[in-house]
Amino acid sequence: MSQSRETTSAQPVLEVRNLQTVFPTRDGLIRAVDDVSFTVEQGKTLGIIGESGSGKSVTARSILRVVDRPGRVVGGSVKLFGRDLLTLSEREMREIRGRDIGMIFQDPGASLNPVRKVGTQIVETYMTHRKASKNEARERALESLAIAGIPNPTEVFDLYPVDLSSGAKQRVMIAMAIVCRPALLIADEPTTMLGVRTQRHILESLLKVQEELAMAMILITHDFGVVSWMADEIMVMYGGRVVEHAPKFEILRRPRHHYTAGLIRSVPLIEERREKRLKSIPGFPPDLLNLPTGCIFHPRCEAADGLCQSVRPELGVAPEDPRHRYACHHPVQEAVLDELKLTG
Amino acid sequence: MSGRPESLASVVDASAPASHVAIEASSDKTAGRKQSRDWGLIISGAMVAIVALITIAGPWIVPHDPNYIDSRSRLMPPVWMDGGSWDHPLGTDGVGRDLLARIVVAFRTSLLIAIAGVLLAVSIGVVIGIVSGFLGGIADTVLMAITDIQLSFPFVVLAVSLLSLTRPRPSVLIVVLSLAAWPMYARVVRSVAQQERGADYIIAARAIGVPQWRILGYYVGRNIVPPVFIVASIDIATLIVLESLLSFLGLGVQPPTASWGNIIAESKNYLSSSWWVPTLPGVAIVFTVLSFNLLGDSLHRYIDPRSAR
Amino acid sequence: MGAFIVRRLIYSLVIILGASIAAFSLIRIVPGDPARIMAPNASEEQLATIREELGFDRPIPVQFVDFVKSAIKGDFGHSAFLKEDVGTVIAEGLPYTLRLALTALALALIVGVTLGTIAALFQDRFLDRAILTIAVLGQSMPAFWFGLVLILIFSVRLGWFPSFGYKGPKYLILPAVTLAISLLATLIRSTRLVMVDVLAQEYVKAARARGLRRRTVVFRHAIPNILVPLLTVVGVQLGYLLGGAVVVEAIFNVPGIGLTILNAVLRRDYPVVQAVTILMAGGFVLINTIIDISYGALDPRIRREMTR
Repeated sequence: MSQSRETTSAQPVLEVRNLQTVFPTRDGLIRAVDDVSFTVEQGKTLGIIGESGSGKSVTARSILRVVDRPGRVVGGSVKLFGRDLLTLSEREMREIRGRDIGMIFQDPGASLNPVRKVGTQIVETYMTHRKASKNEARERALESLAIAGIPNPTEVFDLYPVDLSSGAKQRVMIAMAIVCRPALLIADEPTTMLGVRTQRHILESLLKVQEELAMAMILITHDFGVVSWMADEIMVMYGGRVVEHAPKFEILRRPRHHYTAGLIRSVPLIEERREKRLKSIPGFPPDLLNLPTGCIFHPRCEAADGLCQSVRPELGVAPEDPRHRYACHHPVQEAVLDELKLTG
Repeated sequence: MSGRPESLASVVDASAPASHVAIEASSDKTAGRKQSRDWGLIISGAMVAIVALITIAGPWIVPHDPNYIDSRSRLMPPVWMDGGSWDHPLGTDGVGRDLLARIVVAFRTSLLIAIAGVLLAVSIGVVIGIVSGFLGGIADTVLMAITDIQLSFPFVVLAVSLLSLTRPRPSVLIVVLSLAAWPMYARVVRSVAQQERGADYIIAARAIGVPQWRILGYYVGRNIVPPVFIVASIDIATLIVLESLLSFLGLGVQPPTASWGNIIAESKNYLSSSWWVPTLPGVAIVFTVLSFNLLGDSLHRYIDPRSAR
Repeated sequence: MGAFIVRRLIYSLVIILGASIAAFSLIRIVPGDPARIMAPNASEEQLATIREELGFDRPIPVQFVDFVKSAIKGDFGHSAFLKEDVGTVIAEGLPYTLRLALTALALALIVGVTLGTIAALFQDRFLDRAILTIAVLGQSMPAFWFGLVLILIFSVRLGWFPSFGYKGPKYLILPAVTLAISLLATLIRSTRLVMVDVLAQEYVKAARARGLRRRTVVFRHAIPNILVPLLTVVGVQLGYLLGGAVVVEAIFNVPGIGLTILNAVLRRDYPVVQAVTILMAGGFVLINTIIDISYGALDPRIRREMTR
């Protein structure tokens, strides 16, 4: 979060502008991703947070253009080092996937092919994108497994997914995602399905991998605890839209959107006294086929008034910090967390 | 084979959920979406209705006695060919019997035999399935071994051997045909019964003193009726094919009673000269079988929408 | 793993033994005199000869033990009608039937899996609907009628293929197509069903997200995962294939064991019926046993379960 970042003239790794992804259904059009913009720079991590259905996963899949049917990216641009991925042919796009952008999924058990050896699957990925002999690919795969924190790569190489713990499977997925040394790694809820301890180890590995390979990373999660540890910037999504986006400490210190504030309050911090019950946000995620008018968060918002019900707030820049964007008519004024807790 | 790790259905079913939801948010919306008109069910229903109509009313409507032999008009072509006439719309067979009349009366023969065969198979299968699934243990092992033994014989070979032992009669034919179908019901019912055996409401029902047979009849019956209906519809189709096949081989319905299989058998030597006699009864078979197959598929989709994928 | 195979083999042996007893007892337990059924017009002395020759005068279990003893030595009895050993009769017919059945199986597998996969890849679009329609039609056609239609078109009208007997590979085409059609239709539908499911799996999406080529995704990731359910279908359908061989051999006059057993049944030539029935049942059980055991080789998850 140093000032120097502002002055760097280096091109961002990924620049997403006004991304629009829709799912036509029998009952109407679902705008799963609605006008989403952000950039990710080399060596930095953008955390995207939101409930299920907020559009965070679809955003990730839209970048790679692997949105499930019947979803379609219908607008905006996704520039990887200035090259708009949305204008590429399917063949050119296929070369980008796995080579320039790696992706890790939520369920490592389901994401590995159960009937093929894990080594084969990594080698296959490498050889799809690089001209290499089987032996070179194998060396590269073993190296990637080691970077991903597998202590015994040569043994794991010849195992089937069924032989591995879920943590080890996720490490294999990481190895597979980085085997071509991509510039960007997208981790879509990489630890949701894992146990608490494994979760911590995997996240540590991700940080280490990112540092070692100097990658940009997009980390998608519904867990504020995870982004506040891992990310440099945090983007909050709700109902397919960005509601707030700021550098991590800024957003933790001064969340402006009531939804963000609610999310932060619901994070169990270790220092928190036990008798103090966690506060969760009342109400339910919005029905994407039938979004509320005005601010889509207003039915769940304690500060909502007539304005919120009728006029949709623009995603505007905070006057005191140009890196802080939020979409709210009545921004939160008080600090949610004190400094002590933040540093703790 | 009881040693099989998973049946096809369970392999398919086990891996189905989650993967199918387009995006997280739309899941409840798309699942609750109203089914638009189910054309499969309408079309197959209409086809079965046509078959039923011909079966019931056909023999009274056709102008000729299906067994009337008119040696002066042998092998007459159908009406759309040279020399055909409306008197015999589909022409005549090798001894001058009206082909349309014979094909139409055969609907009744084939359907009655097939439906009786399915009913018998359902009865046998349900009893064996419930006994097997509820009792478990030795009874289950022995019954399933018997099922496996029967299934190890190719049905045609089994049927042909059995039918050769007695004089061919419709009742024997029905029993033999039921052998082709009962193991499926036994297995379906057995697996339902096994699941239900430990279910809370069964234990609760037993605890409040509901008699055993009522537990079986009501609670299990409710769960096996839908799958049994689906399988039965498709089995009617299967048994119609098997009956026509056995009749074709001369071991099923015996002439002069008309059945699609024996019409084809009697006329197969005219294939090169009068192709319509051996081929047209087949059209009736395909239509009938198709209608019941489609009905079974549509019922399956209707009852279990996940299979529609 | 070993324990699973041993258990599976023992069960198969029990089933084969049961099937043999059933096939053996059938003729002997029906009401009436089996000798009389075999030779309805024979004199009383001739009947006595038949009874003695076939051992009908002794208790059934004794007869069965004798039968098994000679069968192990390769002696399956003697066909009075054909004046030949049953073993010889089977040995003459078996190659024709195997050639026919294997050709049909290969045809059904290649075409069925290909069309089923294409249908799944084009799920709910026109090509899918068209392929499914063909499959449902194929499932609804009786093989004996379909065979006649093929003869009418390709043999009588076009004159491309012979329709009768067996004098070389050209004679195999129409019978093999006839025999394959039902299995083919079933394989199209089951391949599509399983494939649609596999294609929606996370590992297929993940493979695509790694930039793998479409054909790599289909051939390396999807197909290996449909083999187990597909083999199950093939195993079950094998009975229909063998039964179908009887019909197809009858229509096309192929001198295989299907035709042998059909003629034997019509002639009440029970030593032949008994031996061929047991042979077919044994073959069916054996192949399904091999299929069950092969699951372990195809899917490491099942292999782990077997070891457990």
